[in-house]
Amino acid sequence: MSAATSNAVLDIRKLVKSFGALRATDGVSLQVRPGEIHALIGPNGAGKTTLVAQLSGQLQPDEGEIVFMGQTINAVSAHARVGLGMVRSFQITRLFKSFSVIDNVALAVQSCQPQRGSLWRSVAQDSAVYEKAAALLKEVGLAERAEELAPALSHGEQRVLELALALATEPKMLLLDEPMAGAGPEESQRIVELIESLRRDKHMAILLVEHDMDAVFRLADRISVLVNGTLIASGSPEEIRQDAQVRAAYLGDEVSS
Amino acid sequence: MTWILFLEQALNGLQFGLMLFLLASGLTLVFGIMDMINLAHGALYMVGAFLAAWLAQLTQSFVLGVLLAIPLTAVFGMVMESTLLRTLYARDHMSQVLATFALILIINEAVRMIWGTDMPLAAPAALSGPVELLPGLFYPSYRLVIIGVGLVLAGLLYLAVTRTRVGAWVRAGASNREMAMAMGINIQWLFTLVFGLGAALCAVAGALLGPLLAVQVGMGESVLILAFVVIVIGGIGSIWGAFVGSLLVGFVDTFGRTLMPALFREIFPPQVASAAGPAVASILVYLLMAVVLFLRPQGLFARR
Amino acid sequence: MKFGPSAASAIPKPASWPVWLLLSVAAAVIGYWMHSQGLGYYLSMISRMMIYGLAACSLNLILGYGGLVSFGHAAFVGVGAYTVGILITEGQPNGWLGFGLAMAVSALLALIIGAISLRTKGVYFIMITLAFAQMLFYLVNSVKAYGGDEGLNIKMRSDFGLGIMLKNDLHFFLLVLLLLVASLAFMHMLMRSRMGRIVLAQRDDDIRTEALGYPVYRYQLALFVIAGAIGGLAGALLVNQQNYVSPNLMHWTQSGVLMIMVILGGVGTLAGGLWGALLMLTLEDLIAEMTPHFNFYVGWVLLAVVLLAPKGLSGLPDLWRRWREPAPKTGGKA
Repeated sequence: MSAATSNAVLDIRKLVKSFGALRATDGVSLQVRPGEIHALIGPNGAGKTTLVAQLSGQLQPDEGEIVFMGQTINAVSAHARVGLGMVRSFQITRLFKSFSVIDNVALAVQSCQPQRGSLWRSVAQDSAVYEKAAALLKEVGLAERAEELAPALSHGEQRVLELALALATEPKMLLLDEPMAGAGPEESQRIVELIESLRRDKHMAILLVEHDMDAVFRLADRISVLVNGTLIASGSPEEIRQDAQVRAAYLGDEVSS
Repeated sequence: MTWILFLEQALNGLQFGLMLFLLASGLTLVFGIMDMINLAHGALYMVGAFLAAWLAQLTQSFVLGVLLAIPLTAVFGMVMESTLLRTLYARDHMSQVLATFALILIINEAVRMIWGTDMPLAAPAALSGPVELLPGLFYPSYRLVIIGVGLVLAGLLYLAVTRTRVGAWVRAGASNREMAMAMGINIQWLFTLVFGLGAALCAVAGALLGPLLAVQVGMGESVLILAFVVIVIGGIGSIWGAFVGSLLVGFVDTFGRTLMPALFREIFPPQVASAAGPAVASILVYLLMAVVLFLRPQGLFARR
Repeated sequence: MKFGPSAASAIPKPASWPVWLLLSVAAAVIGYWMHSQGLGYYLSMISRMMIYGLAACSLNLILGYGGLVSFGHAAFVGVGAYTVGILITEGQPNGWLGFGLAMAVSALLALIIGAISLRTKGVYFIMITLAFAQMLFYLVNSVKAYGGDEGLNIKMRSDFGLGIMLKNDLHFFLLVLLLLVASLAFMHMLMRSRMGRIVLAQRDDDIRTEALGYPVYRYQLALFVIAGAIGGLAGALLVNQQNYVSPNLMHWTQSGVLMIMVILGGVGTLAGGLWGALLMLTLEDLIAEMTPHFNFYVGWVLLAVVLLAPKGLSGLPDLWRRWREPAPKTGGKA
C-alpha cells in the first residue's frame, strides 16, 4: 500500500455486491482522506445508496474489504461501526416519529454516554444528555422547535434533524446519503454551511453522496463518479468537470461552468 | 415397522399434507400479495365443514353438500374481505392479528349459535370400504379419494398460477405488489378473487376432512397453526413453497406420531417413553420450523 | 434550563407518587372493609382480575412499549404457575422459594425463546413465538405425572411465613395488590430510564436505532426476559388464586386473550393491561349470566376497538376531544 492510502480514514478496496444478476457494486475502490469531503455522484440507480449501506453495515458485500482507520471492518456489526466512529445519515428520512426533536437528538447523544442502556438512570435528570442535545440543536438552528414532535417539522427541517442525529454520535467520519434530498433552498443552504463548518472546525472526513451539483462543487475536495456500480472517474472537481466520459454519462448539460 | 405400515403411514401423510396445502396456498397468497396476516383463515375451513355437514343433511347427499358448501364459503370469504379485511391492509401487523383474532371469536360463536358445537358428517357409504392397493396393503377408499382430489386441485392450481394471465398477475403481485400495481394490474379486484379462491379451497379441505376429524367449533385453530408453520417453512408468497412445506409437515407429523413413541420405547424406560414419546411427536413440526428458520430465515422458497 | 423528555414524546410522564400511594392505600382499605363485611368471594374475584391485569401489563412491556407482537406470552404465565404448582405438589410450599423460582424459570425460558425469536422479524417473529408457546403447551399436556390435559390441582396455597395466611382472602388480596403496585412501579421506572428510551426508539425505527450505535437485539432480549419474569410472577399468583392450573393457560389463544386486555385498556400505556383486564373480566362475569356466547360480543368489541379506537380505553379522552372539535392543521409551518 502506498503512503497516501495508509493514512486514509476510509479505504474501500474492490467492493463487490450482486443482487442476482445485477451487480450493484462492481469492484469499487476509493479512499476518503482525513479532513476531506469526498463527494460521490452518479445517476439514479448507480448504486450509491447500496454502497453506503455496505459501508455502514446494513448490507454485507460479496467481495472486497472495507478498512476504517486502518482496521478491516467487514465483520464488524452495524452498531459497532458507530462505536468506532463511522456514522451514516439516511437518504429517506428516518426519524423517531413519537419523539420530540430534542428527544430524537438526546437518543443519539445517549449512545456515546457511559451506561447508555442503564435501566437505573432516569431520563428525567439526564443533564449530561440534554445539555449536549440542546447545544447541538442550537448549532443546526432547530433550537426553537426542540419540544415539538419530529413529524411536525417541515421536510427540509427534518433533513437538518437527520444530519443532527448523525452528528450527535460524535463521529470520526460521516457517510451522508443525499442530505439535501427534498430540502428547500433555505434548508439546503443551512446544510451546506453545516457541512462546511464540520470540515473547517472539526476536520471531519465526509463521504458525501449528492445530486445537488452546486453543493457538490462548492463542498467537495475530491469527487468520484459512480455509474452502474463502477467508478468511472475520480479526482478534483476541476478534473471531473472536464472529464469527457463523465460529461457523457452523467453531467451532460447539468453543469453550468 | 413393516413395509405395509410404512406405506400406510406415507399415504396418511400425503393425504394430510395435501389438505394442508389447500389451506396453506390461500394463506400464503393472502400474505404474499397483501402483506396481511389473516388468523381467520382457519375459520373459513370450519365454516366450509359446517356448511357441508348442514347441506349434506338437507340434501341427503354428501357430494351435493360438499359441492354446495364450496361456492357459499367462497362468497362468505369475499364478503368478509371486501367489507372488513380491506380496512386492515394499510394497518400494522399487530392490528391485523388482533382484528382477525376478533373475527375468529365472532365466527366461532356465530357457528355455535347457528348449528351448535358440532355436527355429524359421514363419508358416503360407497366409499366406506378399503381398497387393496398392493397385496396385503388395504387402504380406506375415502382417504384415497381425498388424495386424488388433493392432487387434482394442486395440479389445477399449479396450471392456473403458471399458465394463465390471471396466474401471472397473482405471481407478480405476490413478489412485488407496488410493481404489479404500477403495471396497471387491478390489485383490489385480483385480491378479492384470490381470497375467494382461498376460501373455496378451505371449504374443500374442511368438508373432506370432516368425516375423519369431526366437524366441531374450534377445528380451525389447530389446523391454522399448522398452515402458518407450512408457509413459514415454505416461504411467504410461494405456492411451490406451500406445496413442499405442506407435504413436509404432513409426513413429519404423521410419521412422528407413530414412530416417536415406538422409538422412545426402544431407547428409554417405559415411564419416560410413555410421557416423552407423544410429547415430542406433537412438537416435532415446530422443531422442524425452528430448524428451517434458523438455517434459512425467509423460508425455503421465499420470493422476497 | 429544563432537563427531561418533552411532553409530546412517547416517554411515560413522571408518576405522581402521592396519587399512587393514595390509590394503593384506598384499595387496601376497601379490601379490608369488604373482608370484614363477609364479601370475601368478591374480594377473591377482584384479586383474580388484578392478577390477569399484571399478566397483561407484562405483555404490554413487549407489545405496547417494545412493539413486539408476541403470541407466546401466556406460556410464561403458565410456566410460572406450573413451577409453583409442581413445587407445592412435591411438598415444597415455601412461597419465597416458589415465587422466586417461578420468576427465575420464566426468565430463563424467555431468554431462550427470545434469543431465537428475536433474530426474526415481522410475521416470522409472531409465528415463532406462537410455535414456542404451542410446544410448551403440548409438552405440559403430555406430562401425566402433573395432571396432563386435566390440569393440576394443588391442595394448599404458598406459605410465606411471617403470619401471612394466603388462604385468607384479605391476605391474598393484599399480596396481589403489593406485587401489582411494585411491578407497575418497576415497569414505570424501566420505561423512564435510558433503556426505556432505547426501547421506545426501536419500536419506531429499529434500523435507525441500530444506525445510532445501539445493539438493538440485546435490549429487545432484556425487555423480553423482564416481561417473561413478571408474567411468571402473575402465574405464581394465579395458581394460588385458583388452586389449579391447566395446560390451557399456555395455549396460544390465551395469549390472544391477554392481547385483547392490553388493547382494550390501552396498548403502550403503563396500566392499560390492568384496566383492560378489569373491564374484560367484569364484562365476562356479567354477560355470562345472560348468554353463553360471551366471546361473540367480545369479538365485536375487540374489532371495533382495533378499527375505530386503537388506543383502547386510554385513547378515549383523545377520541372525545377529536369528536368535539375538528382536528387542527398539523405539519410544516408556512
